[in-house]
Amino acid sequence: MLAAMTVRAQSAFPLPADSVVIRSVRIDTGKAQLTGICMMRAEGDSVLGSMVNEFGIKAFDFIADRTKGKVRLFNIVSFLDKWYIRRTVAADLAYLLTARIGDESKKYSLSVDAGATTLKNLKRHITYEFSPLRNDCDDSNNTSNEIRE
Amino acid sequence: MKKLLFILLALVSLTVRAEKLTAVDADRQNQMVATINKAASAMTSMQCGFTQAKQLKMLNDKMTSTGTMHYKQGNRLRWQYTSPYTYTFLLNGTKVMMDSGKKRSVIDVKTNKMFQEIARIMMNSVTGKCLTDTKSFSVKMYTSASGAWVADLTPLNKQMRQMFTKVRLYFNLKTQMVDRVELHEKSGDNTVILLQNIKKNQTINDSVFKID
Repeated sequence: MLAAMTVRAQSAFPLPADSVVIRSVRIDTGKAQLTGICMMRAEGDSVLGSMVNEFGIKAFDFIADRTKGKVRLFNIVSFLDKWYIRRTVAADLAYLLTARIGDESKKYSLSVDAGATTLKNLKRHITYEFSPLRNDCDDSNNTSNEIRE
Repeated sequence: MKKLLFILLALVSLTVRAEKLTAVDADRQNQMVATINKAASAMTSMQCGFTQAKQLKMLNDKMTSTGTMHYKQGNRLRWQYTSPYTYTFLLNGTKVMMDSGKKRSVIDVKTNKMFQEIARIMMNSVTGKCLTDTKSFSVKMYTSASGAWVADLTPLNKQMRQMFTKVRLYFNLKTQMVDRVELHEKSGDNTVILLQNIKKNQTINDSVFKID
């Protein structure tokens, strides 16, 4: 029973504390598909993240409060900066980052397969897939390429 | 002694990171732009490797990706990321193909104004022709302490301005070609792309740009 309770408490999308996690992202809305890269770091009860396309152009930044189950988006690229997109994406990310293994929801389905996490917004028919990058990524503060100002 | 060494290293590092740029006057700027333009016009092809470092202010961290670039006269450009993810942007004439491994799409730039712009700006940045693209950018030229020519491009187009506050190009004086691109964003993030092992005017097989 104790083991069951431990499993019940596990996050469905675990993020190690204070290290940057990088995931390849695919968002399928039925009408359109977007791909990109998501970088996230858990800091206490918060998760800080940035979503960029493969060229490095930013889609948006976000801060998630895992205890309140809230996500705030900012620095949003203009074509995504619509209230209904902001509201949907923020709510979907909030569910992803706060859901526990075994949670059941009428609005969402969440599955993990071969390291890839798939979240489906059943009401809006949007699928988010977060999968590990093909290669190991250099997510350290690499200093080999100096930035000139 | 250790303290002194640390201070020296910090100073050296500061010098590298804050390279002084000197603005040039209008006549000199016109000369520099003409020289770069001449070199760009004489270029029939170009291939190189690149390292792209994306600095994310929010995470105080950097993501580095690498890949290869091929350019050939006649609106042909292949920009391919090979690590840590695979992604290909291929422009051939009026067609653009994007392949992320999970999703592959082909777009006719004639029917999509945004892609027409992206394709034009990518091509012109690589060749250096963007210095005369007065519709898209206002340009200010500088010389750096290390001798490079530097162009600061401020986007004029509303869509571009929402993405970048400034695009900075570094030109290698020997080759008169771009070897470093910096993209500065409104959010404080920036992207630095270093072009390496640049080969100019060498034969590139047309199959590199083939879009099925």
